Amino acid sequence: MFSLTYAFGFDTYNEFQERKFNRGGVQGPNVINGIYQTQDIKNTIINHDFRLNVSKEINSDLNFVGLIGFNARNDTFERDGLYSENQGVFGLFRHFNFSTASSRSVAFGGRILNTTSEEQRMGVYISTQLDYKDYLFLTLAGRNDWTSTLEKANNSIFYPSASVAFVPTDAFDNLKSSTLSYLKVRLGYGTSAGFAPRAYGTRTFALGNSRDYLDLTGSPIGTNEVSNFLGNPNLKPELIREVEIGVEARLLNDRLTVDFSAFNKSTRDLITDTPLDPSTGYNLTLTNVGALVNKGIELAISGQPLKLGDFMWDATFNFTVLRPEVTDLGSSLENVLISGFTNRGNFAVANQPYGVIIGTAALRSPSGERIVRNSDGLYAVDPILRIIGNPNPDWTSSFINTFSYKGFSLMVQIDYRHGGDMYASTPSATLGRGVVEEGNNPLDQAYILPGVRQVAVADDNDGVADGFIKNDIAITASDYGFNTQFNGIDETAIFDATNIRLREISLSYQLPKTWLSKTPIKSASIQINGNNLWFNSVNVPKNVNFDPEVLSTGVGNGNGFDYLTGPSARRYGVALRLTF
Amino acid sequence: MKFLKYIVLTLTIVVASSCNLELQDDPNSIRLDQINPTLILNRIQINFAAFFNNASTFGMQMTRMQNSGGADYPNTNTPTAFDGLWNNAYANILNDIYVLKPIAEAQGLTRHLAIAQAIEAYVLLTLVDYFGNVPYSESFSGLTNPNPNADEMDSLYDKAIELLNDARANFNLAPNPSGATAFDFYYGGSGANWIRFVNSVKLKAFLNLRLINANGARDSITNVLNHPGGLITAQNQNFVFRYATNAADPDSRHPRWINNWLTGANDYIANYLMWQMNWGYNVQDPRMRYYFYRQTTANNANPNNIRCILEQIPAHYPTTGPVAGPGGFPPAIDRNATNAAWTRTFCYPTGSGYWGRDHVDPQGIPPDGLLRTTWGAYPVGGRFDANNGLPVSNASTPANSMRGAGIQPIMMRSFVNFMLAEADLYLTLPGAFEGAARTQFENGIRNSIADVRDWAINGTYGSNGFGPSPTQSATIQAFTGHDNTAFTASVTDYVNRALTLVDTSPSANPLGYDPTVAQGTDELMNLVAREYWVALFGNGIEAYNLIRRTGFPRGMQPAIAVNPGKFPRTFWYPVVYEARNANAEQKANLEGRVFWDNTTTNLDY
Repeated sequence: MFSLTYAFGFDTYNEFQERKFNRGGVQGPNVINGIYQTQDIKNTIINHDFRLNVSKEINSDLNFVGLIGFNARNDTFERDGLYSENQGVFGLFRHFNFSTASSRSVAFGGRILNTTSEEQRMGVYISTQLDYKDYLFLTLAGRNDWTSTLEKANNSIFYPSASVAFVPTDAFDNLKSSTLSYLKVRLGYGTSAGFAPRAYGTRTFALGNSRDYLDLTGSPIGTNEVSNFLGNPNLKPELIREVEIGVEARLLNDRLTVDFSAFNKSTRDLITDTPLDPSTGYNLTLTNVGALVNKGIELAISGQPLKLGDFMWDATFNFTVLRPEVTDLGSSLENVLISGFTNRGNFAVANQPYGVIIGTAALRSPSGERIVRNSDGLYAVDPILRIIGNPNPDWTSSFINTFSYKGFSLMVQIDYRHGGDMYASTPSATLGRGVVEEGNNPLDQAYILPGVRQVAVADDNDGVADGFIKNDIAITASDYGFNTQFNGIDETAIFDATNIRLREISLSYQLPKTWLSKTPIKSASIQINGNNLWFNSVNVPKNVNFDPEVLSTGVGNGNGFDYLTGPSARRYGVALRLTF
Repeated sequence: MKFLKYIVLTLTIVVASSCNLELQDDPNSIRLDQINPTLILNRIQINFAAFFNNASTFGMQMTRMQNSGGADYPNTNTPTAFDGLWNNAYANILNDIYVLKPIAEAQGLTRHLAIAQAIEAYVLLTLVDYFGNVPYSESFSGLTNPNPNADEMDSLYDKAIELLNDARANFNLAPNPSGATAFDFYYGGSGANWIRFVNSVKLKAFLNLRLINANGARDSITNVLNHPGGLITAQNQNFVFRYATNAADPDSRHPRWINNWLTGANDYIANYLMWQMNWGYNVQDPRMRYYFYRQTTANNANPNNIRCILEQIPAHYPTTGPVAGPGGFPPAIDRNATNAAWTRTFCYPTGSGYWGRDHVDPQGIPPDGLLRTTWGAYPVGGRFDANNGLPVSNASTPANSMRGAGIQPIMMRSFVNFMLAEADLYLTLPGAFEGAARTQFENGIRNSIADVRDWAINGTYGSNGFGPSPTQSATIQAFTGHDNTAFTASVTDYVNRALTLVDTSPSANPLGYDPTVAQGTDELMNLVAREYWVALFGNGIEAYNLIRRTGFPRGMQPAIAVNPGKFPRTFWYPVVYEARNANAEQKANLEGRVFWDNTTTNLDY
């Protein structure tokens, strides 16, 4: 049997943005005279998809389903806008009310408001599935993509995948029992491709500004400059391979379900923004940075521990361990910034977990103790940035319980995260500034930082490295708090993100059908729920009440940074659901 | 069937039109082959001013012109602080020059080439002076070599001299008449003035080399002095970058003005410079009201605004007695025990509202942005201090200033005078330059004072095509002691006091000789260096070189900490270099010196 389908997709949105600052602002030199910025953004995706489907029953035991397709996708982005400064009448935001206008967003990073970009991708794909007696499944697929974001020599990539699934309980009748009612084993190998995150990353360009300087007579002086971004003509697509094995079983009359999977996902030629030493002439490029391996296991156990008449207790337990690791940076680069700043951020470093936090740290003695300066009793700062944390948790789990009795149902979800570091400004700043009550840190006492200091004595068997003695310099509470905890090295702001949390409680009641029999309503339920009701970051000082789930680096690959982010919210809700 | 045909045809067109994969050229940018050599040279010249400004901050911090934070010397500026300077030097200026050069050569644009070479040489010299070994010969090849090795610093000095010679040769050629005309921010197109600048930069480079190779330096300086192009000797030859007054798109004002004159002062002027200028030779320096603008003319008594008024003067500071600090006695300060200066070596340097910070003061920032003393008319384009005592937030203050149309004093004629004085003291110079140290010293002071006041009066040195900046002429002429006649008298008085110190023997003079400095050449150099240092306000590069090269002026204010660690003989490598370049290694400490620095004077205070 054949079928041919063609799908055309047109997906567009328009966005109008305004930024308004009345004159008199004090944040920065531009805001003082008032700013008005408008932007019109239009994004369009056009998608064509041809598919030829084939399905055939080869014999009564063997089924075949096949697919050949072609896909073309075009993304365009257009932005136009105007930035104005120097407000005339206070409170009025129209461009005529401002005396200078610009095509650049001068006060907000200087980007050019009038830009367009276009990306084109094409793909051909094929997929076949064989199904033998409904207990053995084999899937084979492959796809080739071409993209306009890479140069012609590197713009094509083929990525195949294959998977096998076997259900022994269906294959062997005598295996099935009340103890083991269902067993499925699956093995999969999949690949996928990744492309440059944006257009125009393969060539180096120059930037122009026809008003870079305005001389005293009011004449604009224009400039050209070579961009600090180095185009990489050798950029190629990244290839992601994943091997997964999984077992799914239903046991004890289907009262217990176990789903276990283990996977090894490796990314080769990961495309990433790569900061360069400016002495290369550029400070940023896009490169394929070698290999990243993410190994993990996931286990889900669900079942019904208790059933007494109408009362039921259902429970699900999830457990996840992930180990993302950079195995090879592929080039001569020492590390690659993933997110954040060059001097404090998430980095890819060979043979380290993905996204390790690098920042300033105290100098260390040969035996690893922090070194305190003799001059003032504070930590000596290591001029070289160090790895100061791993933001990836050791493991995470959640425990979901549902208790139901007749129409009532109570759901309780408890989450636990074990380990993982966080650069957390909230506890660091509040502790450092002394604005949280912390029983052990009275202001009127002297402090001695844990560490060692350098002295000119030979080894005296004092338990620390030769040439050092245990630090004995007393400092004030202000030096301890403000100058060390808050304003010192980044290392002191690293906290353990382990936390336990009451993620959700909800109580719902399903109205009996009989109550509704004379109404047009088919079913009705009412639910009261609360989210994020309680948490405890067990290794962060209690009074800070810090929630490690806040994240300051926004959407993206950033992980484990809090820059005084607003606290996480507790939410309550009531829901009434009616079905007609 | 006909209907189906149309559908197929339409689809074919739509699909075919969406199969264009040739989309690698960014429609929002300029292709490298489209670059306009004049426009890229403009950017190089503007970025060069920013480079000078940024580098000067670090130099001024070390030489007690501007405050730096950090509890001790290794922490005054952490490696991250130099990222911007490094990026601007390499990824902006030098890479743009690297791209411009073949274009200029192909089109015969000798003037473009010459300006680029002169700037390249200055940037290279500064990078070496600040960091030591830095990449250059393996640079600018992008991903072909993402980890350029550093070159030996002395070879980079040689390279810079070579570039200066090339630049001089190119300035001597007529600009290609059929090619593009370079826009010249600095000299308005005068190749003769550029040659003077090039010669003056060569002088500064060779002067640094005199410590390690006195004869070589003497010969090289002799060649420079014998060059017919000459040095910077007249006011309109001063090599300055001029800012303008436009506030928005583009903000063309002096970056220090933007940072201090809009919502409150962000920099602290170093107390020591204000102390020296107020008390030196027992007379206030005529430049003081041009250098500094006081937002309040009285000393504030509120410890919430200025914490040091409640603190004890550190025991290692020079005090009444007079007792010298760890660096010895400061020159030009009267050692008479009753001299009021000695009670003001800490916290407030004067009794009249001059409000800065002591050396390497790490304290938090009180709400004093509208109280502390900030930059004046010279060089940043602020306001002449006519005892206004109004904060910058008062609309009349910035409005009556030079509105940010200041300068970067990159190479002034007074600097050349002081360098020639030093060269004469230590080397044998040709012709009339030999034995002229006293004259150069006097001319240096006079030229510096004249250039400072004339800048505020005229708003131009007449050295480029730009019209005058908003001037302070009326205010200055109306202010007691600063009209033409009175000012000339006070300059003469100041110069005479300085010369008296030079001319009389220490035993006969109660004024500021440091008795620990060997009499003769060094004690004279101490006085020359003191005046050069004052004249260098706004130029931290030469000031930092001066103190490392000569160890003078002695007796500068010690850091607040008793043991501030070793004075940075070079600075940390930037993080962007150390962390991103596999061949880069951070320094273990800041004791490593630039190759020409072999002085023994202890600066670690």
